[in-house]
Amino acid sequence: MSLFFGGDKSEIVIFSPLDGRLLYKGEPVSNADIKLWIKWKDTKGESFHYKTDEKGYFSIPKKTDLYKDSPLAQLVITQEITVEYKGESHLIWTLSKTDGRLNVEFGGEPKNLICELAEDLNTIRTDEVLMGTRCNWEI
Amino acid sequence: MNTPSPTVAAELASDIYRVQTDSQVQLFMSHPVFSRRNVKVAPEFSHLKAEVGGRLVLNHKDGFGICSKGGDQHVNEVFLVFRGTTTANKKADFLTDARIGITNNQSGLPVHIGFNHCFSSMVPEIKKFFSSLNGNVTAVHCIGHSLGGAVAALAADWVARNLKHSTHLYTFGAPRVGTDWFVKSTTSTVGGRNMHRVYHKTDPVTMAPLYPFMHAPYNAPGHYVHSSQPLLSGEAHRMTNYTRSVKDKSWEALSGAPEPPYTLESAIEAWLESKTPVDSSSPTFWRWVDSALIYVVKKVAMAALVGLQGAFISFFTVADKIAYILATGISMAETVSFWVERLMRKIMQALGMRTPESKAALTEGLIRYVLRRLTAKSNKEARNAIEKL
Repeated sequence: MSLFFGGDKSEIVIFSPLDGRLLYKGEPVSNADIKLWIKWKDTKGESFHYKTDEKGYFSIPKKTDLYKDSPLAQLVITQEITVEYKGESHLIWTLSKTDGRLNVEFGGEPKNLICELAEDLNTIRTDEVLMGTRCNWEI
Repeated sequence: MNTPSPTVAAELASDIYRVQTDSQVQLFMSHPVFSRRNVKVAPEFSHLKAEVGGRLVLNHKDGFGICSKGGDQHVNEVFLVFRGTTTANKKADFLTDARIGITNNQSGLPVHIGFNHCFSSMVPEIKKFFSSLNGNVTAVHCIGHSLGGAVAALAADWVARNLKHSTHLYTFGAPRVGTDWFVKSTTSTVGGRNMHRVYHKTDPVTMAPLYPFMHAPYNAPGHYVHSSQPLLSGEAHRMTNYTRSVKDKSWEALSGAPEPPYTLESAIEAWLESKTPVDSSSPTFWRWVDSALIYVVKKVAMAALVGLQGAFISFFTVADKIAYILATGISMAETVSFWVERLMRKIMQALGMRTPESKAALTEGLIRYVLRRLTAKSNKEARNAIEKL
């Protein structure tokens, strides 16, 4: 019997669009495989695959889903992005957010996003997000 | 010992929800309470998972926690942080499940069967972690929100009772964990002053399950936090709203807003005798009815010389047991039966039922029916509060 879980479903952003450039020690990472993994409504999650172009640019579109709100089950959206480069797997983005709004990952609409494989993961903690990333952006 | 502030406790209770992968354990451990000078790697910690099928798979109760030594600000102190249910895992309707039951925990104290199952599945890992510290512990901080708060309460009791460490509990929007026997015992074992129960007045989760479940510390109001919603509201249960409510406040500042005297006998009697209409959508009604249930059941039990310790552990539901006790009270002297009758009239009024013309009409069957409807109403109010989001 489930009495706490009612209400209508509404759209949430499980991944805000990520457009940027991938570098390794300042040089473009060309034709690299990018894997995005998102988990939020089950323990398995879902994977999506992308590639950088010759100049290291990549574009990952927005992902949305429907969500029936319930304070008893905390909304937690987990995202991980890994890049395959020279036979090694690099984690460039690991994040969990408890808010389904667009761009809450970035604190606003991101511009000039650059991910540098040679950097350490930088920790960012806000009320809605806990993340480690090798990417930098401007708002 | 360095007591974590309400802000820090809330940050940890919130952050633990965001630990979903191994790499995020490291992010969690980057919180300042774990940081050490000149040490980039986090201090010793153990990643706990409740049993699920195999040893480390999540079960439907979705218990989960991290235990770790503190950083430079908390040398030789241990943090046990637990989270509640998330959307990524099966949605355990842990509060309104009609099969809510009571079991004896490892110390033989009556507690919620679901919370106890969740905590018990983590005990082996917690034991292993403390063994690795070789007793070099000066304080243990147990923290959690919602189901995580219930598990933290059981963890605090277990640590204080079995390991004899100075133990401190910090919960946000936690439901009731055990009966008065457990609550009195854990208040004594952990220490009432070491228990920080933070709750919004309109958070429906903190009002469940109904009596005989109670909150610790015993006979203390906890840290009441004002919420902007006048009626029961699911919004008031959200961890993000608790984080905002306690931000930059001290524990002392959070103790400055006492509740009405729900536990004062004369106040309970005045409420039972009052002719004021009752409104089941008001959080005030649920606090009064809960206190009045406790007051009247104890009155009957004392008059009948019935021990309540363990009385609720049986094949019968809690409502059946209370109905039996109250029906016993109806046939007692006026000093007892009067209050049973007043309580039933008050509840029936709130449920929109026609009140009986005489005490004789209050049979055990009718009382049982009324109490079951009250429980259903409690669940419905909680559901409505949440659906209104």
